[in-house]
Amino acid sequence: MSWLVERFRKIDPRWFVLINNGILLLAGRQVLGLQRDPLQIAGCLVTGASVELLLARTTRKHTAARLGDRLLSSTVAGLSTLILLRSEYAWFYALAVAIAVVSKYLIIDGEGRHVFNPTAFAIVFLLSFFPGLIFVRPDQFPTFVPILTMIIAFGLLATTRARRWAVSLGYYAVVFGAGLPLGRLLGFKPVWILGPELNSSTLIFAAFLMTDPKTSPATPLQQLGFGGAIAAVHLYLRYQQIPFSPFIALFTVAVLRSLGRAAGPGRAKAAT
Amino acid sequence: MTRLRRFTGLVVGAIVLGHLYLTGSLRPSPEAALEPRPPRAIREAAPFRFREQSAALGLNFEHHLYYPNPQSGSYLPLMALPPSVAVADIDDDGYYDLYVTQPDPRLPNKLFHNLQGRGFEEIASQVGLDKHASDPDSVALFIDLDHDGLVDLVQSRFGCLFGSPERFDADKRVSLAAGSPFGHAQAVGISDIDKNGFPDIYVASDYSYDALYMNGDGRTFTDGTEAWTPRREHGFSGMNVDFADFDNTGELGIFVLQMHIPPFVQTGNLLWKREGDRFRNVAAERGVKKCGWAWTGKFADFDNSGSLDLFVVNGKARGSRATSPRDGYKSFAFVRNTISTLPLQLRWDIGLYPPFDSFTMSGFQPSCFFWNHDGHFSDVAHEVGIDDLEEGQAAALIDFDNDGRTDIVVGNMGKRLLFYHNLTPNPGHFVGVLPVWGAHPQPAYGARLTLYRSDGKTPLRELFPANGYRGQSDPRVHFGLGAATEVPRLEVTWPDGTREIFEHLAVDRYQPIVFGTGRAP
Repeated sequence: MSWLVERFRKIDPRWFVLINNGILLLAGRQVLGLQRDPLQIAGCLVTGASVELLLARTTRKHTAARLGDRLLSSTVAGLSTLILLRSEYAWFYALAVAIAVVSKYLIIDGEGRHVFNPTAFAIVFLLSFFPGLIFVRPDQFPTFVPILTMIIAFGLLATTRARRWAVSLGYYAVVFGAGLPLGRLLGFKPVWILGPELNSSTLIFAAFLMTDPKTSPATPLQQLGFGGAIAAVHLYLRYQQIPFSPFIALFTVAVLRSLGRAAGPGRAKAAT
Repeated sequence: MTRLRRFTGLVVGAIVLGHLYLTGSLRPSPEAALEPRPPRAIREAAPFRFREQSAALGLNFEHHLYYPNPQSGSYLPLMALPPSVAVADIDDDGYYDLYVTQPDPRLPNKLFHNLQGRGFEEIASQVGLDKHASDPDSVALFIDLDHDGLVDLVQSRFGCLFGSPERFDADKRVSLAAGSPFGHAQAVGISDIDKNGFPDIYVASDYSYDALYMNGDGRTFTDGTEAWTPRREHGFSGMNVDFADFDNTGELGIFVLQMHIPPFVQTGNLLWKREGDRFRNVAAERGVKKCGWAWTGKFADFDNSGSLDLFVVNGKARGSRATSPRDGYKSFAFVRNTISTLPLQLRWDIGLYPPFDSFTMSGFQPSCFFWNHDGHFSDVAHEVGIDDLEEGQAAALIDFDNDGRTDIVVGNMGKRLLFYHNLTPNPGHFVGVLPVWGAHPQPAYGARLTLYRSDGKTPLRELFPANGYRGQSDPRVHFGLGAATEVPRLEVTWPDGTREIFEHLAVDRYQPIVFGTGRAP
């Protein structure tokens, strides 16, 4: 048993994200009508890897990291982009992953850490500047129990290994603890609050995006607050009928966190 | 430098979020569902004029919202079955008549007999078409089933078995499977896309890819969807399909209507243009990508200029208390998307949804009338007199007074049938033909007609007037000629593959062209 735990501790949590998203992409293409053709997939992954390696070399960031580590990072970003976004254009996913990777290298704080989860940044950036090119149709992964079970299982593995489970816990604590009672006051049925949380996109978001170790706090207490803040902004945006609310909420909280860190470098250092 | 870098995230974040907020791109707005208004010069130059004259012409039909499930409640407008419209010359008097289905089985369908271009008279009861059925009527089509020279009526009913593309042989039945088990096939279009003499089938699907079945030799269909129309561009909300040579190149394009409900559903119409052995979607660059929740689209040369224009009806539903598109500012599309995240078993429970009364779902959308000028389409519906805000779902084309100016019939949800009489001043010349078999004067469906114009253009038409969603149009094939006053040459490829040339056709009138009476090419 201890051998298993030891092996588990050596696994990079990004592998869980990669396997989960890879299976979703494959199953989506083969069975669920996910519109991604080989050109889009290849364009996205190759572009992501190219931009990653180019920027790693030119910025001299991650000089100690191995090639495989960089490729793992770009592939995770690419797969996330491929399953979370939808666009008819052949070049779109290449652009999206390029934006995601560039954000990692160029939008960094005083300590050299990137501020935004790359995929969430790409989504919100594209929504802001190219709104007609992109949409997430919530039912593009039908709510099949096997899919949900898989995402939850890999999500638990990834968040446990990355020690970010408290981010997800904080998120769901606010959704259940505040969203449900507030919804009841506003006349919303519980299923309207909880239904979207069963959406595959939201589960992927809650398990893998907001728990990104590079862009979320390190201590459990701060993680609870971080996840809870994302949930609060998300619920408010959803009440306002703003689509893509989880991604915008994560982006917004990252901006606020950046503000806090910029204002108080000492506290920020401790937080990370 | 490092100190300044601390603010990078803050600055970039503020720019991105500020831009998102200021542009309002994530807020629903009725205007965003349509193509941008064309420049004033184009709007003023649009040559068309239409006047809605249903009441004046005796077309008194009001669709009654009906759905078989009495528990529909406030959702009746959203779930109600639409009307359908079919055009045929039922008494062979040279004037085309109109049949409209009423889904509510307690109310009769209506057959409007054309009084030689002066108006219409309702005669359903006189010909036995006012009978009520237990199941609601859905789509009606005219066709001569027994080759006796008289049109028959085929009518589908909601609640009966529904069809799929099938072919029967003496010894073998070939069925074409739908592209995805999640898809809802909304409309079927037929065209000989690869010009091999056998009609191919395009299925427009909601919730799935469209499907294109290529007819190899009349016995074998192959799935040509990806090879001809890249699936990544399919919108997953296909409502209507039709074919048109919108560039007068002798090649038919494919037009598929989709929902466009920004920011929730960003799909757009698809206009597939033939380029070699593939089609390329040119809807955005030609200006026909957006027309709300679009249902039926029909191409015609409404001013006889020589180029095909496009009419599209749209709109889904309005709640009983909704009075304007702004009532849908808190959009039901958002609610629908929220509910659609639920497990399938829960999704169909109406009790989970909020009451629909004050919502709209793409309601109050103006129809689109796309003027084809120099290959680009501009929506000039409002300028040309097509300005209703009803939820139109069925549409058909008819030249009811045989003046060469194509009129438009629109079947609306819960409202009157509309008849847009084409009163375009100074239209171009035209030639109208009806290809018929020699033995009986019924249309030779599937005939392909190529006009060889003096300017070198070779516009192509196919005789499939029932393509698309809920509208069978006037079967007469119509070519606008602009200022030209003679028809150099018309080549007809009959459905059996025979090719004939017809010359010296009369201009500015309709005429039959009979199989076997042309000359060999």
